[in-house]
Amino acid sequence: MRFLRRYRYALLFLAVLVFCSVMVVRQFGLNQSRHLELREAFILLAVKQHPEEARVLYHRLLRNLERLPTRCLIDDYQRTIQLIDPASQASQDLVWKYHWQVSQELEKRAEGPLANALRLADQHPPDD
Amino acid sequence: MTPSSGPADRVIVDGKFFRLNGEKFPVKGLTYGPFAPNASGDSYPDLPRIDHDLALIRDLGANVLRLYEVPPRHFLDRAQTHGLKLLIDIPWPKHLCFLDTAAGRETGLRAVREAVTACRHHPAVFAYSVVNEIPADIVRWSGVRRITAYLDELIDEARSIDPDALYTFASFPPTEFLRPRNIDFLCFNVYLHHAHSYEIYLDRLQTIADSKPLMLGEFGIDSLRETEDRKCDILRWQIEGAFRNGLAGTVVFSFTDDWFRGGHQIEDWAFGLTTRDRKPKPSFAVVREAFHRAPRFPLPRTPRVSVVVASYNGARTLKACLDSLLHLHYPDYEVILVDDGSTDNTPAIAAGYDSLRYIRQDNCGLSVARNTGIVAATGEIVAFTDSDCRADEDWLHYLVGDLIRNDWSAVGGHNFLPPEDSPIAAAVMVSPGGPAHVMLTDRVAEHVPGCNMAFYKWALEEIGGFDPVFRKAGDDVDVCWRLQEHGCRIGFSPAGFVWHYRRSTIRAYLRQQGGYGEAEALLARKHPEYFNSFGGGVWRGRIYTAAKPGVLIQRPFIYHGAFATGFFQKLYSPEPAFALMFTTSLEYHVLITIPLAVLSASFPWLLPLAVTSLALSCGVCAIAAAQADLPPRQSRVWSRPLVALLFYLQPIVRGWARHKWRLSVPARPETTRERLDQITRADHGAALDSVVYWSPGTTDRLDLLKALLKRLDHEGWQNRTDSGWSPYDVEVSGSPWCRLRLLTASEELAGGKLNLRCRLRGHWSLLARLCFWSLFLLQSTAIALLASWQPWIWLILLDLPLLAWFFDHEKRTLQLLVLNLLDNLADELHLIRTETPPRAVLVPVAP
Repeated sequence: MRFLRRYRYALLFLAVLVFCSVMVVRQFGLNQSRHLELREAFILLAVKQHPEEARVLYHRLLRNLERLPTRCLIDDYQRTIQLIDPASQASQDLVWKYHWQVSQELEKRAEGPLANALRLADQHPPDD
Repeated sequence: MTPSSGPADRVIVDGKFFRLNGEKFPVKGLTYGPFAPNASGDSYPDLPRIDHDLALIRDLGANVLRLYEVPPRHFLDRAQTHGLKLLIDIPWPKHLCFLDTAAGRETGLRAVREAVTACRHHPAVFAYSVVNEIPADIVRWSGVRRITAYLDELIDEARSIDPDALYTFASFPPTEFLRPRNIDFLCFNVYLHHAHSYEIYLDRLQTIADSKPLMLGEFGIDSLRETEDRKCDILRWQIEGAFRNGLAGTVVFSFTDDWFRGGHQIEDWAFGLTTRDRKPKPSFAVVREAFHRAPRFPLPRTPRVSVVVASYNGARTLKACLDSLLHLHYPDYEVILVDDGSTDNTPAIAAGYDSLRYIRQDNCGLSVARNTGIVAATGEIVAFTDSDCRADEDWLHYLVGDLIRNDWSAVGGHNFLPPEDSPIAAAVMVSPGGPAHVMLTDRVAEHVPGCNMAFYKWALEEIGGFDPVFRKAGDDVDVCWRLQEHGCRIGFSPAGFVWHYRRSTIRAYLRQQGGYGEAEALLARKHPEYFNSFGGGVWRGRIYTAAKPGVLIQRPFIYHGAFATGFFQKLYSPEPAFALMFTTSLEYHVLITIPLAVLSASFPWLLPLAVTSLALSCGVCAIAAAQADLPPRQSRVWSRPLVALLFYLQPIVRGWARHKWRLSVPARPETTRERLDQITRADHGAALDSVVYWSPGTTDRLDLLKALLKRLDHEGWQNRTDSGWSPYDVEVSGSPWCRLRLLTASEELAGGKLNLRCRLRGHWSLLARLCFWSLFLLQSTAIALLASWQPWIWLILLDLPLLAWFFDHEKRTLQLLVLNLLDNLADELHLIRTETPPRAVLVPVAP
């Protein structure tokens, strides 16, 4: 009891830390499931020919694009590639457009690691 | 400087008194008539009889006649010839429900119009009374507000015809709740035959009259029922009592027993000072003697008074101040001017007065200057006023008179706006933060303003004079509170008043309010028991000031007595809505309006809330300005907008200064730092909530508490003692973040020994709680709004346990310090600290 009383604020700090960590993890999960729900709804509307409603969700998805984790983007990329022909120029297809935006965002994010990889390659020249 | 002047031979109001051609005009009056109609139908005697009567009245020493019928022109002329002024009652059927019909309403207006037109501009006219004693049930029938508005309308109508005359209405105890705004003075008919009741009622009337002169419109005794001897006795103390209580005059009912009323001669009442054939009764001689002594009845003794004026750069108004002080009607006094290092031409002005005692010192602040005056004073009484004040010539007469007649140690009085002061000064007067007196009863004050106060010198010396920490203001409040803590009482003298020039620019006013804010912070530190947790004053009495302390949203309520038959029907004014005034405070702007405005930049839907919050503050200021009692002669088109602006700015400026000082002054003395280092090293984390001291019986709980309080005060700890309502003995504020409450109890042991138990409970201060919960709220809002974008934002909650730890650490530090203080005291008082207290033994209490 005395221990609890003496170190109550340290214990409280730990308790809050645990709570916050749980909430952060939960929030990530929640955000991801929300995104999945939104993406699937968008695809469904686009596929079922509800262009106006799909356009609304498309813009919402674009708004969140920059904040999405890369893992989530790859997931989106893989999901949309199943529905479109990447070689075609179907600029009116919203799913195609979303796929293109996702690939652009992935490329943008790859620029940093690519530059880093090149720098590493320069630092380690091939052995003769 | 002279009081506002009117046309020659017309009486004017001057503070609580009247003046005629520059001289004070104490009303010594008699009622005259009404008489049986003469041949021409007037209710006045024929001319020879009038001349005979008026000569007799002059012989009596009277200077005013009160008439119940509008006099014919020849009577006005005769009165003027005999040097008498007339208070003319205007008769109309006020005993009917006159407001029920347009015709009834017009009857009163017409009567007033005709009466004032008939007597217009006549030099014999002293004042008009637009109605005499409206029956209380008629007032209740028609409604108090409607009757009051009608009285104001009657006076407005009359004043448009004869603007230089004075106007009133004659009230009496059953309608004392009627308060028309347009009257120039309060006129009351009072028939009280017991001296004590009479004195108490005069005090009450003075409170009702406030800044206006008070006059008794009728009082008298019936010789038939009370006997002439008793009548003589009662009239003697009635007249003397009225003038001693600072009334502007009295009117005795009546001159003669010859009285015609309701269409017939009254035979069974004999209120007159003369018989029906004008033969003087014994009471005539009594009244003559009293009138000759009035208004300045000699005081039982006239102790020497030292008037101290502490001045710092007050040259603008200093001459007016000194001129007034050197011409007071008091036999034995001196004037001491303490120049607190002025850099203006104060020394040059002072050099122009031979009888003035001039003391110059380095600039040390108001309290030190006043203490210098006390040391130099040779009087038994020390009176204080400021260099921006001008004293009434009878100031000391009334102040000292009231002080020595009562068991008071100090006395204060009104401070009025001089009629010659500027319209800006008038707006400043009705703006918040002006000098005020707080009353506990009609005569006992909680504190009095520093610009008009007097003390017995011994009382000031007993409490050590003024506290030098108060450099600009607050010294008066501090002295009053300390005197009361010493068991002294402070009185209020309604007639001992000064004229107080207000700040004449907005900048000067705001600077003054900043000074008051600093003084408030110092007072809150020294007397925390008089302040709430927000730093607002907790007054025990009722505040009287030219500015309303808040907006009024409730109507007053009136006690009429069962079926409106009460003899003394009183008006109870509701408290102003202090809660609404919070919306004008600095705290409100900082905590609500500004955050809303800032957040609305990111969240536009908050903008209407921010605008509403600001509009609420402005609206309250506008209402306060609309309700302000601006003096009509110093009111301009811009006056009320200016008052509204000052209502808006004053709480901000004053609050800012108050908080700045509160935060800059440490709550615990500097000397505790060293002690804290030593204690902290020895702190092993043991519980500090309670401690027990064993006493051999020579020192009890109260001795320990007294010693503790003395030590706390001596070392400069901010503390609040139990006022009788608290669940603790002492509350110590050693940090802005926490408070410590000490509760003691004593256990009786065998052989008269004692265990003195002390419980030290720490609490977070209001500021700490506000900070903690505001932060929690802010962070919760941020999480709710941003967590979906930034999940890591949850981690900001980690600062809450850190903050709580900091507050608790402060609390523990305070506990350690106070415990150390108690241990030191225990050593001095030969108490022994016991870790495991001996078992208490119940000692049977003797029956």
